[in-house]
Amino acid sequence: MKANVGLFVTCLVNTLRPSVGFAAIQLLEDADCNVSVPSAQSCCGQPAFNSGDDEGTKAIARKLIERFEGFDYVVAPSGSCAAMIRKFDELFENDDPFAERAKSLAGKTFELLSFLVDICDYTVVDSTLDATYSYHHSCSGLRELNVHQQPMKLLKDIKGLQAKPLKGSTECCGFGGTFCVKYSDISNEVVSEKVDNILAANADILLGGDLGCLMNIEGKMNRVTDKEAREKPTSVMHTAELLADLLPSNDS
Amino acid sequence: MKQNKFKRNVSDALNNPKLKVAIRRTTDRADAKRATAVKNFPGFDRTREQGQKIKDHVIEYLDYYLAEFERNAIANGSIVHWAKNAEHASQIVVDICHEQGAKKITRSKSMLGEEIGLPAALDREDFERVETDLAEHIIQLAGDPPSHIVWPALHLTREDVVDLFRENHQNPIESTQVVDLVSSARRELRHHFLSADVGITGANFLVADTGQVCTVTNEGNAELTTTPPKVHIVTAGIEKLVPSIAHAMPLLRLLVRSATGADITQYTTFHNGPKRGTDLDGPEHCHIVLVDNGRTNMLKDDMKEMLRCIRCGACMNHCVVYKHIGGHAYGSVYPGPMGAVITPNIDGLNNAFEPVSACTLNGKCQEVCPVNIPLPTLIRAWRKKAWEKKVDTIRNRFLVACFSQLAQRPRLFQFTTNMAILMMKPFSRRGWIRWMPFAGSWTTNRDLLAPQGQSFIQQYQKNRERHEA
Amino acid sequence: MKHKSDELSRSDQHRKDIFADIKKGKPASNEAIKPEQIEREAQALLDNYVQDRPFALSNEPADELVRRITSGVVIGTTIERLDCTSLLPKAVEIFLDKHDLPNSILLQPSAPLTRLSWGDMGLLANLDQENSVSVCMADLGIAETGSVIIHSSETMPVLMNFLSTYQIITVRKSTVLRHLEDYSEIALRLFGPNKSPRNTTLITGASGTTDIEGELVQGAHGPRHVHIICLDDQ
Repeated sequence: MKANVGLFVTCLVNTLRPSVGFAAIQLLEDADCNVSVPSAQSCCGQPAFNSGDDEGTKAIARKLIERFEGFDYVVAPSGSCAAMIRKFDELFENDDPFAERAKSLAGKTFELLSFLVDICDYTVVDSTLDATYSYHHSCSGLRELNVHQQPMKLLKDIKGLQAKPLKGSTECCGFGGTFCVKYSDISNEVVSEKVDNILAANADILLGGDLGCLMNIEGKMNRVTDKEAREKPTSVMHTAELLADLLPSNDS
Repeated sequence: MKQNKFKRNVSDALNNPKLKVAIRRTTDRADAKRATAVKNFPGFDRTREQGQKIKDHVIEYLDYYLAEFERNAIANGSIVHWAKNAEHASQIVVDICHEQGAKKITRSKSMLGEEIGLPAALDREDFERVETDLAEHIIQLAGDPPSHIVWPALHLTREDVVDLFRENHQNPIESTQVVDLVSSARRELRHHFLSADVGITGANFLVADTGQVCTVTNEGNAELTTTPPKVHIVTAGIEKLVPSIAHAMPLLRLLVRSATGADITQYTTFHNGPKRGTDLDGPEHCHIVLVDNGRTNMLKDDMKEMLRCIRCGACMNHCVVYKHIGGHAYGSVYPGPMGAVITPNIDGLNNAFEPVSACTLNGKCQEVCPVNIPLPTLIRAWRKKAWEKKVDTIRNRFLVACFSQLAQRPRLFQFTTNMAILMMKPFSRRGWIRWMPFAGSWTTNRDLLAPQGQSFIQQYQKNRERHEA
Repeated sequence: MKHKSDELSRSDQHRKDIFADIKKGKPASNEAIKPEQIEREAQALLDNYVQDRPFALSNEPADELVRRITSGVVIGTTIERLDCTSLLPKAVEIFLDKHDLPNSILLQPSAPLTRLSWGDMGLLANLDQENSVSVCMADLGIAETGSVIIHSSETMPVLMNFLSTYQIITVRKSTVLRHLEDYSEIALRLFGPNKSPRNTTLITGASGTTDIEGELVQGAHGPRHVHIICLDDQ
């Protein structure tokens, strides 16, 4: 029996990079899952939660729980959104009926790449790409969900793809949700250093599993290389996009 | 007021290229040394669990251990004082110094001393205060507050120190080598050690079952501070207790590896009261001032994990924010992640909100914390209190409230998303937006990703309709 | 004197407030917990940790101490072994020669040292001059960290360990402990429950600092060089 997976798209993917969402669907289907996308979805509530607005977060959480608890699994192409959904149970008092429901949802919510590897035993078959890559390990996925080896395992099986070490690959890129606009100048210093390290690594592609970090990094890299009037030497991709591109169905 | 001040501090720090060099020279070294020390100690993770358990045990039975420590310290001839707050704690020390007719006072670095404002309190009474830790000596000459809890002079480069020593030391040196700078300080401070009337130290641990006060230093300045003068005064936070010397040992292993990357400090000393009858040296009087200053509030406020803190500084060495703005920008004695959690307790949330807010919650600090303090969780807990007390600006709160309202109405949220995509379109150039209204805080420093046509949900629905048709 | 008693009563009030506030932060069920249980819990913490201390020390502790210091991880420290205490003056003389130091030392006023025959070596009264040398006997050693432990006593002034430029410390082979924790057992045996010397210092290397740009420099306030002499007392 195929597992029923509800895809939580995340607001950034929904707004700015739908290709990541479609890549996620392709990979999940390739992993033999039955994927549904509830159209009435919004945000995981992180901006409210991290601003201390627990009441607001609760209201967001209730809606998300109602919408997604019917699935066998909930999968998001983002470590930080998946980690947020896993934290919903902290919000509700013990006697609130949503506490139990939040806990149950937390147990079946996963970040996409770790879901593919840990739950679906998904492997990359017969893929070739002659390129080099560096990996940015996004903080929430890494430290809250322990997403680290899973993407590496998938990428290792792509023939011709070579890793280039990135200095500070597990360090924050300075995105931090509302942080990057609230403390724009500090964030800028942090992401500038990240971009320096990426450019020094000099890989063809920078990969990661969280669009927030990736758009922060790429946006800065764009600005820097533009200013220096040169081509961006490294392109930035969500790991799901790269993996989906290499599927036989996408052979062009 | 305070918020503007933080922003100003940050701006000053970011516009000071020398500061960045200074911070990095130390933190990069410290990070690398810590990583090696941890790698070379296979039992580190289990020791970390052990350290956490020991601290939690003490916090659970804090009153029991405080009473036991007091009993044993008194039995060894010390006088134990209690201070609920900073002012009282400083006053106790000042009074003792006056009673003893002290003129010169040596002090060995203690963050608690900074916390209770002791240096300023001693200066107000015109005592000759001599800071003996090399870094504290440097910042005393510079007139700066400490910018790190382990390396208080981390914001200064060796070039700065050269200038300070040339201006202030009795026999200034020409050399700019660090080794010669250290010798210069050694010559300068030696006679102060031997001629002080009172020596003040903090405590890294208070050993309950013996009444011992443990200090750790690499320089040996704590012992030189406590031995020659007639009076030794200890100022210590009430959370510094350990049940016994054996319980202090795993914490020492963690503290030193996390702070400087060594296995142990050169001098780990257990002081216990005044000189005994047959001793050949040592102080005639020993006073121990036990300070609360917000610590019992942490017990009540669900912040008790913070009382585990052993002041190693690893959280700030590894904090992306600290590494760019340095310690002074925080405007408090304790900077970085641990400071963000402790300071609201001391200065009030209204005055200490910005450091709580200026954090990406990336979790690196907890990862390197030797006693596994959930710093991001505690920082968020302060944000929750701040939200309830309406501490942030009206504008910021309004934006978050609007977002919450939208996000709990998924259909409206999708509609707004679609509107936003439409609005972004005219500003898009080759997949990027250089500037658009209301996005200035993003686009000042980086480009904004332009939407790929319609939203994912719209595209997805359209695809399905096409399939079904 | 009035001032003093005011201060004490004020301190008492603060003590009461602190204990009351600690109580407020705890569940009421904690009240019933007896000291014996707290002590049991504290002991259990130690018992559960034994195997996770650094290094499975397979060697004799003294061998391990020598190995560790020889490997160079203990800052500014050298070590040698000596078969018998009577050879100590000669070893000290060789050390002074090697480091081109004047032929005089400050000797710890302890019988096992003072009764040795020091020949024409000068005995200093203080450590004021540059390049001074002190010689003392440690009470214990610790293999894990390469430390020696010195207790203050009627024959051990604390200050002599912090003022000299060169510090020679002897430690008896049989007194070298494996791990830091082992010290607490010995201390209990030496001093009894709830007792300790006025001053106990674990010395692990020469005085040093990393306060300027994180760069390690030896000889901050105290000794620039430590020489350990491990005496075979079997």
